[in-house]
Amino acid sequence: MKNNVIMKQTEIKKKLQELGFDLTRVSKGFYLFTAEGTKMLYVPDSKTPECLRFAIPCLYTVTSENREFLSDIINETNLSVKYAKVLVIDHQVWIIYEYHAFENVDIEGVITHCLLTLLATKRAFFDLIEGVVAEIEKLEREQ
Amino acid sequence: MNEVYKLIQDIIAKQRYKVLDDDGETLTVFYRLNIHHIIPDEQDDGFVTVFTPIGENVTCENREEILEKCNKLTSKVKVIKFCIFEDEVLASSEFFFQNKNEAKFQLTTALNQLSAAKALYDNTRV
Repeated sequence: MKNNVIMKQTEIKKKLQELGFDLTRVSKGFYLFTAEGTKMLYVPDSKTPECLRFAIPCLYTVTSENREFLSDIINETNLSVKYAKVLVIDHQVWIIYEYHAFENVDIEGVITHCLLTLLATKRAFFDLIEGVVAEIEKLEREQ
Repeated sequence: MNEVYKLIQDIIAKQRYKVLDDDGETLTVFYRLNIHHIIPDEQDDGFVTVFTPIGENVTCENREEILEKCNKLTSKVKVIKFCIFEDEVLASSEFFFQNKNEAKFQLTTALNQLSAAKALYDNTRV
């Protein structure tokens, strides 16, 4: 079944601008913009033009001290959130949303959905971290 | 059973996928030599989760290594997430759709990708 369509970069960029976002071209042909105070990337991929991709880059730094803890938090976040995925790229936590485009979809609706999902996933990620930290602090107080 | 569930049932029947179980909440199908569980969301119309057990047991000893592998593959494979749930590794694909044709497209894409993802997991060393 080949109903997938090529997502034209120009169309996506135009839609983002119509939604009020200022795009800045950065390295690798990505476009940086800010939504609700959060830096996001529109990530065009010439190899898979049928796939629309947005990301929140470099959300959290992974160190040798927090790596194990963050691996569990990332796994929990991935289990609890819909659509978006949380992963580590080059010692940084990223949130990525990928969508296989379909013909005649409401692109503006899809973009809005992607960005709101990324923001919700970011909140879920930090809520989980805060939950674990609060638990540790509570245990420390009790000891 | 909501409208989305009935729609997914209908698509599966038309595509003639082999249904292993249908309990009114989860549809389990055998597709490309793998077992896939399809869960249309009751609360969120137009939202569907499809997950595929990878068949690797997670223990305290191998958990860190498997999480690393899950991260590597989640990064590599578009749309698919690899997670540990309890003591199992799962690959999952979540999608929403705006109409019936898109539901069919997204479901078929998810099943194809999950089958490929399982094979990739089996053939990947960290």
